[in-house]
Amino acid sequence: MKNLSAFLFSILDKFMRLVELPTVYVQKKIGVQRMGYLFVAPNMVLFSLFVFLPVGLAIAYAFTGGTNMLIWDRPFIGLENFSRLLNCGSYMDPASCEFDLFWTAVHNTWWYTLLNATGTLVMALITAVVLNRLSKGKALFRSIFFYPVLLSPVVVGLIWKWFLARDGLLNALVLDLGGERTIFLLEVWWSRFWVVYVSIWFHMGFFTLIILAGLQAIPRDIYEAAKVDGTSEWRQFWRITLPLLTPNLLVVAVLLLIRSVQVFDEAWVLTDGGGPGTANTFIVQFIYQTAFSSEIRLYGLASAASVLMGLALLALTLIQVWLAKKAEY
Amino acid sequence: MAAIQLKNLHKRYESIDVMHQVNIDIEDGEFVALVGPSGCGKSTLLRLISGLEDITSGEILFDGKVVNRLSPAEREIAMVFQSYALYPHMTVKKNLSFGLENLNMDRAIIEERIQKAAKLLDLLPYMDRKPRALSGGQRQRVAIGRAIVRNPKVFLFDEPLSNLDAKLRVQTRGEITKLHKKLNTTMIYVTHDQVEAMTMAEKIVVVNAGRIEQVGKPLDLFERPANRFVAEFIGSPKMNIFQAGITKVSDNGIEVTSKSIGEFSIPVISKTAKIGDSVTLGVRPSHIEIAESGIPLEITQLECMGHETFIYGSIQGEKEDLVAHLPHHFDAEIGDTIFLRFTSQFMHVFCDKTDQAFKRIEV
Amino acid sequence: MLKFLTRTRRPGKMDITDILSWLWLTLGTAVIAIPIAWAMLSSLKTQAEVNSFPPSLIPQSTVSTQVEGYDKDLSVWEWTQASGETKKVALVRRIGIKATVLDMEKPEKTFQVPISEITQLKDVHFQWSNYTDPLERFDFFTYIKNTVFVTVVATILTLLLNSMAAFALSKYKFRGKNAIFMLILSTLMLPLSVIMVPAFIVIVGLNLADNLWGVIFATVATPTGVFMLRQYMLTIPDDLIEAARVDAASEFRIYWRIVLPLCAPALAVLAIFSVIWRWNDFLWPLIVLSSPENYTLQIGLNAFQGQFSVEWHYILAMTVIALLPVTIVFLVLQKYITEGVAGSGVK
Ligand SMILES: Nc1ncnc2c1ncn2[C@@H]1O[C@H](COP(=O)(O)OP(=O)(O)OP(=O)(O)O)[C@@H](O)[C@H]1O
Ligand SMILES: [Mg+2]
Repeated sequence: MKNLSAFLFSILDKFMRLVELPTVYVQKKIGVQRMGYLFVAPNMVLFSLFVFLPVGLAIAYAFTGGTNMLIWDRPFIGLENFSRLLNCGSYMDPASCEFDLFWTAVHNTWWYTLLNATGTLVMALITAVVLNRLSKGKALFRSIFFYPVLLSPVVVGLIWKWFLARDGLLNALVLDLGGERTIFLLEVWWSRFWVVYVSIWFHMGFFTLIILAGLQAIPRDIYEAAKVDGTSEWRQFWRITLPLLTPNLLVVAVLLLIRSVQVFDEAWVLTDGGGPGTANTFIVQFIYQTAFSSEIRLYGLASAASVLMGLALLALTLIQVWLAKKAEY
Repeated sequence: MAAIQLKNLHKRYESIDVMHQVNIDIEDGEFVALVGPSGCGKSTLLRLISGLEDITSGEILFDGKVVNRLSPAEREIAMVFQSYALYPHMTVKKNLSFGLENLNMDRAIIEERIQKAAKLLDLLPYMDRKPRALSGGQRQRVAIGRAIVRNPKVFLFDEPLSNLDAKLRVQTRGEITKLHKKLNTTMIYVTHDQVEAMTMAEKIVVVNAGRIEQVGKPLDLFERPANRFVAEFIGSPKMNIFQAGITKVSDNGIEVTSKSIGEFSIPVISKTAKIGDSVTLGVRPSHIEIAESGIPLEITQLECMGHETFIYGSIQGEKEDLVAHLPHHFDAEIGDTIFLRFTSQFMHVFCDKTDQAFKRIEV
Repeated sequence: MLKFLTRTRRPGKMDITDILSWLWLTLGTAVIAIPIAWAMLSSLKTQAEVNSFPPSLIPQSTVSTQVEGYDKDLSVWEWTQASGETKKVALVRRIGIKATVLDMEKPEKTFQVPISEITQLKDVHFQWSNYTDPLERFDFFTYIKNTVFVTVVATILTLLLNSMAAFALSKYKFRGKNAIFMLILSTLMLPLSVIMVPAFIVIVGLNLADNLWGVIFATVATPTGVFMLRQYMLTIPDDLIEAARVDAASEFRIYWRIVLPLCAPALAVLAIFSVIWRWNDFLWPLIVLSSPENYTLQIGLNAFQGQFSVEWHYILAMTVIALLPVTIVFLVLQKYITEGVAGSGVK
C-alpha cells in the first residue's frame, strides 16, 4: 500500500516535472513576480468566459430581438424588450400585462420572498438561541439542523412530494385525526404554503449556523453581569442578545432576501414546474422557460428579465455590503 | 567562493528609497558582518545580494561578473533565515535534499552530500524527523545544513542566532566561525548584536538609514570611528558625548573647550578645523579614569560585578548621564562625588556640521 | 437520552424555558427526520405496498407458500373463527365476499369462509430490487457514472485552479493584483440565475452544449475557493517561499512542492464543499445537458420522476442513492463542514 502510493506519487512527480518545463521558460522570460499572472490566468480565463462575458452578453442580448442565438444575427431593438415586459395596465394585476406570466412570477416571487425570508429568519433565530443555551449536545443538534442544507434540491423536492402525496404519510395522519384527505400540491394555497415550508425546512440550518456564530461572538461576561443583577433569561434575550445581534441579523436578512428572489430548484421539482397552473411560477423559472423550454426561444426577452432581476439583486447586495460594513463598526 | 562587489546600489520600494548608493567590496572567503539599527536596511541589502529582490539601479558583481539579472540559484548563494524557514512538511533529510533535487542532481551524489553535511552538523539522529519535532538549536543546524549541501559560493545569514537562548547563541557563534575556517567560503552575516559582529567578522559594515556609514575591521571601528553614528553605535556601553567649541588650531591638533568638562588638546589632523566651530567630544566609558581631582561626578547608580564596575552619574551642565567603566572593583556609594580624568589622546572629536570625525594623528 | 437533552446550564433545575427549548429541539429533529426517514422506508417497499393507502410503516410483503397440487404459490392468511380461535389458511381463490381457502395442516381439503373473517399475513421485507432495477432497466447507472465523473474532475480542477490563483494573489507582487482580486470577489455576488441565458450561449459557442465538460468548466473557478485558499496561504511565511527560491526551485515547483502540501487543511475543506456542490448541482446541468446519456443523477432523477411519476418505489430508491454520498460525507466530516460554513459563510 505504501509502496503503491509512493509509486503513484513518483509518477505524478515526473508528470509535474514535465508541466514545469514550459513554466520555467516563461519564468525566465517574465521574471519571478510576474509569474503571478501565469498562476491567475486559468482562473481568469474561466471567470471571463462564464461570468464576465455573460454579464456583458446579458446586457447586449437584452437590447436585441428575434430568435437567433448568435448576437450578430440579432436585430437591435433598443428598449423594446423592457417596455414589453413592463407594459402593464396595472402592476397590481398581472392579467392586465402584455407578459402576464412575467408579472405573475414577479407577484409570486414577491410573496414567496416576504414569507420565506421572515419565516426562515424567525425559525433560524429561535433555533440558534436554543442551541446556544445548550451546554452539551450542541454539536449534535447543530448537525441535525444543518443536515438538510446539504441535500440537493431534487432530493428535497422528491422527499416532500412523497410526504405530501395523495397516498402520503401526511394524508394518513390527517385522516387518522379525522381530517379530510387533500392533494396538497394541487391546491393553490396549500401548494404555496408547502413551497415556503419546504424552503424553510431546506435552508434554515444554514442561517441558524450563521446566527449561532454571531451569538457565540457576544462576550460571556455581559450575561454574567446580567445574571448578577438577577435579570430573567427572557429579559436577557430582549435587552441584551437581540440588540447585540441586530447588525448580524440585518445582514442575514438581506442575504435571505437575495437568496429568496432566486427561488427555483426545489420549488420547480416539488410543484412539477410551478403548478398548479402558475401558482408557483417564479422569476427564474420564467427566465428559464422563456429562454430554454418554450417553442420559440426568446433570448432577448429572457435576458431583459435577467437584467431586471440582476438590478434588484444588485440593490440588495449593495445594501448588504453597507450593512456588513456597519456591523463591523 | 566568490568576491563580491556592490557598485552604486540603489533600491526603492514604490516611492521610498531604502538603499542609497551603496558601495562595498567583499573579498573572496571573507566573513563580513552587516550591522545597524533596526529598519536600517540590513535585510534588504542581503536580499539584494541574494537576488531575492531586484535592485533599482547599480551593479552587483560576483567575481567580476555582473549578476544583476541572475536568480538566487544562478548566483549560487545559500541563505540561512532568521526564522530558519525549514519546510514544515518535509523530514530533515528531505529539507536537506530538496535544493539538490531541484538541480536534478544524481541521487547518489545527493545522498553523499547530505550524509556529509549531517555528520558535520551532528544531524544524523534526526534525519527522519519533521522540523516540528526539533529543538531551536537543532532547527538552526538543519537550516545551516541546507545551506552547506549546495556548496554555495556565498553564504548569507540573516540574524540566524536571534531565536536562540543566550548560551546556545555563544556556542553556535563559535560553530559558525569554525565552519567558516573550514569551508573558507565568503560569508555575509546580518546581525543587530554588535558582540556577534565584533567577535565573528573579519570586516564589519555599519549601515544606517540605507547608507553605509563605515566599513572596516572590528577594532578599527571601535578605535577609529569615521563619524558620530559609528562611534555611538559600536561599543557598549555607549560613548559619552559632550558639546564643545574649537579654541585653537595647530599642526599637532586642536584645542577644544567645553563648559562642563573643561579644556583639552587633542592630537587630530586639523586641516578642516576652524576656530569657533562647534564640535562634539566623545569619550568611551573604558577610557575614563578616577583621579584625586578633575571633573566632579555625582554618582546616581553603581553596578559592581567584582572584577569590573560601571559608574553612572551626572556632571553639572550636562543633561545626559555619564557612564564610566572601570576594569576593577571600586568602593563608592550612590550620592558620593568623585573626580574623573579623560585622557585626551583617546578622545574623539566630531565636526557638528558634518558629523564626521577628525582623523587621529597616528603615532 | 432524555437526561442528556434536558441538561442545560443550570443542572438540576428545569424551568419553563428549559422545557420550551427541549420541546423545540425534539420537534425540530422530528420535523427534519420524519420526511427523510419516510422516504427511506418507502424506498424499500414493494410497488404494491408503496401504492397502498393507508400506508404501513415498515416495509412488508405478503407471505406465500407452496402447496402440493397448485402451480402458483398461495398467499397465507389468518382466519379468525367465530369462536375466537385463529388458524393459518392459504387462499386459493376469491369470489365476491367468499374466499376459498385450505387449511395448511390439511391441504387436501378446501373450504369457504367469509372475507371479513380473514386477514392477510405479512412479514418484514426489504425490496432491494428497487435499487438494482433502475440501474439495469433505466439509465441510472449512466447518470451515476456521469455524476461521479463531473464531481471528481470538477473537484480536482477546482483545487488546482483555485489554489494557483490564490497562490498568485497571496504571494506575488504584480500590477493589477488587487484589481483582479476585487474582480474575483465581486463574482461572489453574481448568482448563476442572472447570467444563465448568456452563459449557456457561451457554452454553445464553445461547442460544449450537452457535454459534461460544459458542466465542469463553468463551475471550477469559484470565488469562494480562491478567497478561502488565499486567506490560508497568507499565513504561510514568505520566508519559506524565498528559501525554496534560494534552493533553486522554480516558481511552479514552489507551488507544487511547498505551497500545495502546506495548504492541505484548506484544500480538504474546499474539496468537501466542491464534492457536495457538484454532486447536488441542478440548474446549470439542467440547462447544459439535453440528452439522457449525458444526464447527471439529479437531472436524470428529475426527468425520470416527470416521466414515470407513478413509479414511486424507483423514484424513492434513486432519491436515497442521490442523498447517500452527501450524507456519508457529512456524518464523517460534520465538524469541518459546520465550522467551515460558520467560519466563511459559504455553502
Ligand atoms: N517590501 C517593502 N516595501 C516597502 N518598504 C520596505 C519593504 N521591505 C522593507 N521595507 C523598508 O525598508 C527598510 C529596511 O528594512 P529591512 O528589513 O532591510 O531592515 P533591517 O535592517 O533588516 O531591520 P531589522 O533589524 O529590524 O531586521 C525599512 O524601513 C522597511 O520599512
Ligand atoms: Mg532584518
